[in-house]
Amino acid sequence: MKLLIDGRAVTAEGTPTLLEVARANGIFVPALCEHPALEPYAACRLCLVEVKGRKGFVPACSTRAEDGQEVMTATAEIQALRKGILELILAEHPHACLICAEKPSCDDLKSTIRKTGEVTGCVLCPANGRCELQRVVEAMGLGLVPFPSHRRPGEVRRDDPFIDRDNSLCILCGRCVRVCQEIRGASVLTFVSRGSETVIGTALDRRLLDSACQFCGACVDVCPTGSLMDRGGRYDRPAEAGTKAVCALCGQGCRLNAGIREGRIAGTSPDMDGPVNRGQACVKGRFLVGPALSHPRRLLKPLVRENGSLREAGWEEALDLAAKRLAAFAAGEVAVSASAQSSCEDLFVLQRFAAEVLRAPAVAGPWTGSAAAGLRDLGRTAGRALPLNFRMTDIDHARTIVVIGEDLPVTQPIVGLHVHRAASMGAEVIKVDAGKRALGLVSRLDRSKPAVILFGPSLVGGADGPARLAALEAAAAATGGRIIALDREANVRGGLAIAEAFPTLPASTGARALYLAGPHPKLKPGEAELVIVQGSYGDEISALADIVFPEATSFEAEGTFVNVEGRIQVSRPAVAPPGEARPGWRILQDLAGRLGAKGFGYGSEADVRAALAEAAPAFDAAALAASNEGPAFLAEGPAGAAAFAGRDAGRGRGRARVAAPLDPDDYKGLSLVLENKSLKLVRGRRCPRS
Amino acid sequence: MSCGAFAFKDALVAEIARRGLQDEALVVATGCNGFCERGPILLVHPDGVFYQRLSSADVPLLVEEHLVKGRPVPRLMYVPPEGGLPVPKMADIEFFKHQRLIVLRNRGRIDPEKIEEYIAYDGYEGASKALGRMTPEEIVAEVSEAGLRGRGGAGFPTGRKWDLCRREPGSPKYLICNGDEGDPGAFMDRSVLEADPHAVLEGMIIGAKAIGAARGFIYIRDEYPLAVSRIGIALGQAREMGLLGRDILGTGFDFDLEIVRGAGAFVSGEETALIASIEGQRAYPRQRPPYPAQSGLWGRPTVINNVETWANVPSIIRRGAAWFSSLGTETSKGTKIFSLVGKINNTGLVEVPMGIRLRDIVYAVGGGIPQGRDFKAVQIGGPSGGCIPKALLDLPIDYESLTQAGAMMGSGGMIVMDEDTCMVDIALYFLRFTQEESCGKCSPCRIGTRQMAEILARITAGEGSLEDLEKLEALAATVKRGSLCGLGQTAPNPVLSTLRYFRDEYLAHIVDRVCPAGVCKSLIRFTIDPEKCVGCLLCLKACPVKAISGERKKVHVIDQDACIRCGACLVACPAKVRAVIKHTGGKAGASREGATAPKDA
Repeated sequence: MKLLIDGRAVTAEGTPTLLEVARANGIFVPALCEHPALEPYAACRLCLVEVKGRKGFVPACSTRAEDGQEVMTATAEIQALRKGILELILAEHPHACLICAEKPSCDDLKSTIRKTGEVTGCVLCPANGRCELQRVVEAMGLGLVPFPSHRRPGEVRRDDPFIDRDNSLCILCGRCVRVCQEIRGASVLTFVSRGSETVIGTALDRRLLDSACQFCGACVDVCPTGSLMDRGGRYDRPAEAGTKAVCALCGQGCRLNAGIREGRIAGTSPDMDGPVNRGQACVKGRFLVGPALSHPRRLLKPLVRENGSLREAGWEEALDLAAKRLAAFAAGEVAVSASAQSSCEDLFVLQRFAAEVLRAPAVAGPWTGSAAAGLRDLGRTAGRALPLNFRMTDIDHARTIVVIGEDLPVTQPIVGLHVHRAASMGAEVIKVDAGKRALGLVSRLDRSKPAVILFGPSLVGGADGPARLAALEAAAAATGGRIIALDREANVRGGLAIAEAFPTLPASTGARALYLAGPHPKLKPGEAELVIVQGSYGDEISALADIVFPEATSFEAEGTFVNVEGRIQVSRPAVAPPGEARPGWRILQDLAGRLGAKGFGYGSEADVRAALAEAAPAFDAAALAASNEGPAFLAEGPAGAAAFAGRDAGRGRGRARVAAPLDPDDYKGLSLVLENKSLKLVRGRRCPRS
Repeated sequence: MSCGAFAFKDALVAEIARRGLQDEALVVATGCNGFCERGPILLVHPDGVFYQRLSSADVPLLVEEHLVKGRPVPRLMYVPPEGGLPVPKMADIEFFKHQRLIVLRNRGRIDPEKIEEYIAYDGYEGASKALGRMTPEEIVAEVSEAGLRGRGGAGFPTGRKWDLCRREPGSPKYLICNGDEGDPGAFMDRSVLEADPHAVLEGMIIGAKAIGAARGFIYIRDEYPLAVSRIGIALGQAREMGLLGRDILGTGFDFDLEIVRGAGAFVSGEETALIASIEGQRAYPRQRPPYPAQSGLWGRPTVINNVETWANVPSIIRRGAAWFSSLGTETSKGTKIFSLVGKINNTGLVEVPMGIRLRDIVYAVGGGIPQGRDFKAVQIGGPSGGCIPKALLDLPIDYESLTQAGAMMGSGGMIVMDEDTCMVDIALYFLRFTQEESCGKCSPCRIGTRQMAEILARITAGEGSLEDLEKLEALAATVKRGSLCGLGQTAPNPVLSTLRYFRDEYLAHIVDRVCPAGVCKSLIRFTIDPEKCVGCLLCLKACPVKAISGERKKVHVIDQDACIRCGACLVACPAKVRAVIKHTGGKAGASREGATAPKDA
């Protein structure tokens, strides 16, 4: 369609609002209550414009553009009205600095003055520099507020972890209420009282901890001022730089913006363009990445055991020692464990190392007992293709959703948002434990309302797991439903697909040595003659090890992760690894070299990926190469299945037993829920669990 | 009710029984008669004799003289304020003579809890005609041709609203009756809901057929428990008679209604906020378009009309558009109910044809200003409206003329003011109301009304400046043009209207620090004239803060610092003495003698 804005002819497609059209054409129209992820609200009234033929003014944020419209955004009348409205907003928001003429020189002098409790101006405000009200005032050039000021009532609420609330800065744009209700489905924040007395609050003015708050931080992200604030970052200076990274703290595959300051992650927030999360995150991705990376248990230097205790060593010494000791073991005598939270590059090289260098029977990984593996195995035994891949957006259109044994906000937060969207469009959501009831329920589903059945590892655990899953799948198929496997760790799908590329060698008598690059059940001293740990966090097992290699986390190295959908995403490093930590595959590369192995000379992660694509057909080379431009998914389907026909279903079980960490808050052995006081408070609540 | 009508009724029934007349005289408790000033009211049929200001003590005489002996009792009849003979018949009383009852046609003649009585007076004939013999298009056409406009305030053509909704493809469709009646001083919707509930039900049945709705909601503010009760009873009786529910009157048409009780805020009378309230949400208005006729309750096409609008519909269908449009003016057809309150002799509800002059409402129907005071202005339209000054008394009352004069028809609340009313104080009163009732969603209304109220408060406290007037006008423009809904868009009207016609009064407050009407407490003071004071101690005893000192037979003195300007002393001082004087103008600034005691009645 064609329309005129301020006399300029512009074109538009689809059903944009006037605000969207204006912005797309570089025309400034202030708006504070509007947010691209939320329904238009038309409350702040700053975006009022004139449309020829329509009486008065209309809000650009909620008015659809129409062909042939003539829109004026900046007449003298509109500017006066806008100024009047902004003056009123500022009459109830501390504005001393906003309109001060000394602003530029002041910023240089007052750099960390934010420690005062009460905000009376920008320099004292935690949102200084990232505040949308600042931007509007600057763009409109206001120098005076001709009204007496009123301080909005209430103390700063500092009684919750992660999020502080300062009502004096609130401009009642309503974005927090709307995001919590429309997108998160938690409806924790609402408007309380009326008129000038209106404040944003919780039911009965409870703490967020005593409400259904998931602490996802969405309210903080949409708040245009400093009213809702990340408690941890309150007193920090703004980040110096930013990068994007794929979060590896769970299996959703959210993309985050990481703020960097002095080489460390200052804070993370969700990427609006993240293909999976679209601007949403969860408490871990939003608030705990930095704390996880800088946790005191981080392994920073290689360690070797000497005279009964571990001491720091250089890489050369540690690698030489490891190579020398490993060389002493024959095929099948070394058991290897891997983590489903490691990248595909790390896992591929580890699998190669285990198979070719150590000649271990197999690599034990948590994908073995996973929901995805269960579904894949069922497909093979049943002889039909049961797709593992799905899109989270598929859930939006389901008419019925059955959630079996998963507390979605904790284990599958983004999936949970799609379930909420479906529910708000009328879908029926049924939550049930992974027991007999689930089967009965699924059998009785209404055929006319296609169902999506979400299940996790709890359904497939134990000896009767496969049978249970088979019964469920049959019941689902009979009612036209579809089952979707949801695992918790970041790279279960990747690990599973890579493991398929490696044949299982005949089992041997017993492992005498352990190479632990992943979780392992409790170790007894003397259980093995040699224990090498490759990990990011020290624990009881590494304390008993002979050699410890410090490994970089996913945020500190380039790595490919495959999320629950089967989506392949490459994450670039946000920061350098701390201390002497190194990416896992590089450690193995060096070790392999010292053991005389060939073909481990990868120059970069890209080289590893190329090799992976060749070895595992599920990883299409072109897709991998393009995976950050467009969606790339693991290849599935008859070709994929046939390629593995004949391989027995018992693969993947090795001598090193897997201690499957079903704790969704565990990251590479760091228990965030136990070792982060704030998360402990959040998880420790008596919330109804499904 | 509040003047003891129930007690009177009980006494009357008892006396009639005692005299053995119960088979000859039937006592019917009807709804509001409209002449609130004169209650309790008794109408004796078939004579049409009107008795007023009755008490239980009058019962024996009334029964003996009128019912037994057939001799009406002049002592209990209405006497006009200016004096003269009693007027026995209701139809001859000025208050009633100028009224044309359409919505209030059943006033004083039916028991609202008996559907049979409503039916006896042509009730449900309109619905029967609409359902049995008219198509939806015909119904809409009839209402359009009649020229009925929304009686809730905005005056949008009802037929056009119905037509827009009728044409909408969505379904299901809904009907809503807006019984939130929030304007201070408005109680006409209450009267209709309580005294003639079936009129609303019948109107909605007709409307449902017109747009194709099967479900309707009557939203009644929770502060009207009697209305809720009466509508509830009416619904039950209508259903029993097959007038609501499935297959109404055997025509195959299904429609039923339910009551929704209000959430307790003025803003929930705004149509989109009301819809949100029915949906169970906070009563926040929503941006229009889309309008409710296209997307309303739960996103479906919805017609929402005021109580009075609905109550007009049965008569229009029954008697035809031509009859209805014969009343009123070119653009404003039919009648309008006004609640006449304030400084007026005949307070009450009046239904008059559109186009009647304001002068006639005030002096003929209203009986003029009490105690011979001078008329000053009429506030029409409540907190959204404005005032009409003396100079415009000949204004014909219709939608357009009122808007042009800076007022608004609104719900029809008419507050009459005399020379003892301060217009700045009135503006402050309404703005405070709007400020308190503002929902708070949009910035201009939430913050702007507060700033405006603060400026006005300063002016009435004698602390205003001329710059304040400029600010007030600028703020009024921002709030008017920037607000999301009608509450904010019309909130500045009382200020703008009083500034337009009574600017001098504002200037007096600001420049002279004087309140010409003698109302604004900071600008008035009371003194005792030492030459008139007889030392009777009456004012001393009346003063609630003991600000008056003096002894018997000695001149009393008011301590100005302690005085709270309540005026109790002025009232206490005997009429013969008149020693207490109210001045306006503080210690600093010109002192002008303001009004003293009322002129002799």
